[in-house]
Amino acid sequence: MKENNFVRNELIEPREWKDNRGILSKIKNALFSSWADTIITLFCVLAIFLITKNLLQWLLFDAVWQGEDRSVCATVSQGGIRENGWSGACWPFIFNNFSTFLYGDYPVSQTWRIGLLGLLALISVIPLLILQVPFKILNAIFTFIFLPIIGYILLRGGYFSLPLVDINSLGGLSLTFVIAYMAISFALPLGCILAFMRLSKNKLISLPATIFIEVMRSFPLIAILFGTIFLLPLLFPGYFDSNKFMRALIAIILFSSAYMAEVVRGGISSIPKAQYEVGQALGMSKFLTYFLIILPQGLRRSLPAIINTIIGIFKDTSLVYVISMFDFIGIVRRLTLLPDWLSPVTPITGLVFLIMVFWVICFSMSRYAKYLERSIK
Amino acid sequence: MHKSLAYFKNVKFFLLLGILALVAYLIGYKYNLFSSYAFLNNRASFDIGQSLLEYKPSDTFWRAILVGFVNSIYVAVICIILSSILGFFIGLGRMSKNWLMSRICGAYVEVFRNIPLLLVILIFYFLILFLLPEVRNSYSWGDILFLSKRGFYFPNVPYLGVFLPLLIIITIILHYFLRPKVTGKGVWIFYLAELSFFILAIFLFCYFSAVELPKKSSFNILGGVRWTPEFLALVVGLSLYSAAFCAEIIRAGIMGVEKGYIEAGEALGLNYWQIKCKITMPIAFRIIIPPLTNSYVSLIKNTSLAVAIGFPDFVAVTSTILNQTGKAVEMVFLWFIVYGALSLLISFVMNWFNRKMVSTR
Repeated sequence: MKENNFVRNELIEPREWKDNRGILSKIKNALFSSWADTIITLFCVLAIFLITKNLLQWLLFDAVWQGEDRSVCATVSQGGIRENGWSGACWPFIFNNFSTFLYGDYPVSQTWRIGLLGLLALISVIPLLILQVPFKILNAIFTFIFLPIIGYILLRGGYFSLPLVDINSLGGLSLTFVIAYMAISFALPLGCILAFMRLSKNKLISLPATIFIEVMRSFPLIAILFGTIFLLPLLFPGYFDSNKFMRALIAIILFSSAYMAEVVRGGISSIPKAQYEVGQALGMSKFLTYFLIILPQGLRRSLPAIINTIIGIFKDTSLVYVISMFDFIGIVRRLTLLPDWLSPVTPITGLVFLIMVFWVICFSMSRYAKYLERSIK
Repeated sequence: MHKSLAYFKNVKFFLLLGILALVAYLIGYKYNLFSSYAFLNNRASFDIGQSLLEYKPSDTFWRAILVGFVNSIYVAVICIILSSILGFFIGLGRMSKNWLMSRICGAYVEVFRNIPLLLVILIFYFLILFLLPEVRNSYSWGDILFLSKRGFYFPNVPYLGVFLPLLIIITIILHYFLRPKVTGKGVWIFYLAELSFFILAIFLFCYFSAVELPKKSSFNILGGVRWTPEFLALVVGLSLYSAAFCAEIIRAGIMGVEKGYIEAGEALGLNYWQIKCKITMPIAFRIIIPPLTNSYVSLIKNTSLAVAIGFPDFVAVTSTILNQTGKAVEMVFLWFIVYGALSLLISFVMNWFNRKMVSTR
């Protein structure tokens, strides 16, 4: 009869204990634990060295830091003062045009209004984001109801003896922030409403919501932007004359609310039926049940996805460059083509500056998302 | 699980579809949507920089739209393949035990997730124009491939676009009829033979057809196929950007495999690679499929960003036609139909694939 089992009769020799606590052995385990590991480590070190050396060379060591016009950024054969074969970042282009990058074509004497609005926004939004600060409801009312009104008065003017300024002259980073802020603050409530509509049992309510969400999600944002730019003046003649800002804003709000609706729907539909029944047992109307019981729990469940969508909305506002609105990307690209700073390195410098600013803003938002996730637990 | 398929068998669905079709017909009739598409038979007077199909400026608008659409699909397919492969390796590298490797892959993902896609495409476009040499001094490999500011030139094999899909279909059919019915040792010989058949067929086809090589002339390079810098920038930018998202999806899939399965594999004595291939990958694959399909759909939609750098894809061509003829309603309706059909198709394929994956195990 064959033995199908195995029973060990003697004890195994104990292995000697390797001391893994020291810092040297930690490094050895993380980086050099085997031959393949060592090769990978050497390869990574080589890659990092090459990339950072060339990057720092172009961005810092060979770069130009002071100057007034293109002659400091161009080589001798292009009409400048650098020796031939030089290539480095042209930072005076950024420093000299910094206020245009921030404010766009807004009249220079009135840019203090944008600065004031930015300061007010920071003062009202930052306490809202930090969890330990009290008076959240008052803060939220100020941020979402009063701040847009104050913003409208400040940016447009015409009241309180502020001179009237065309909103279409706003550009640069402030335009990006204004569009993103309006898009986010409209997309969240609209998204919640659409999510509830889609989850309704009544086909008359859920069908339009479903069609709207699916249509908005199957188009690229560029197609929606082009579509609203051309179609809104046809549908509502006379309201949108040369007001590209409003048309682009409507397009982005509609697009973002569809994505937000999907995310909120995911959070809300995971709430057990017992919560709806609690509301019924307490005698609340449907609206009160949704608003006071379901929505807070649903938003809390889908919070990481909501913040990811918010970061995505902020990045998507850059697409208004394609309809020739001069947001942050548009204004840097426009000033690159002006003859004052024309040189081969200027476009790359402008784009590197754009990448750095966008990266810092979006990375801070995603770090905040991680902080929020951790504190909600 | 079979809810979407069962819905089709419902009579109410066809009634609803019929009512919708009637409403669409009446609206179209009232706003002259259908008859007014006749203007698309006119001559398109603009040129298209790079196209997979033959195109002259004297062709009709319909031809231009078709060329733009094929360009979009071309870019989308190449970018899907590239971003999946790259995302796979970066996701694996992110989970590596090597501290440096995982940090570098993490840095890559963080960089590309926090900048807008438009910026990625723009910077690659300007880097390509900045770093590559003039046509006179183009990088060349054996005088067959040329890389310069004007683009990437490689030999033109006629009818390869027709031959390749046919070959793929033939390979799939042969695979299903000839595959060994028992698993175990020796199966890898079959896969090796299949792969060598595929590569050998492509080589023989290229060898026996009249290949058109690019030749360097005084100011330019004549002949061959040219990939414009716009196309290169779009493909590189879109692939690198989507690879970051694919890496995150794949990492979530690998981390979503329960430890119990891996420990069972270790208890059975499998080594590291066997565990990875036979245990982790099949389970992770099922977790990865839905978000990956979402990523593919948004990649297809993101090819529309080609309009920012001047590559003639579907949205770019139709917006040129819109600007030239001023017929906005018809063009937007065309986008509606095309993108709606595309997303419906993809969600049907994804549902079918998902059902197949889930119900076979």
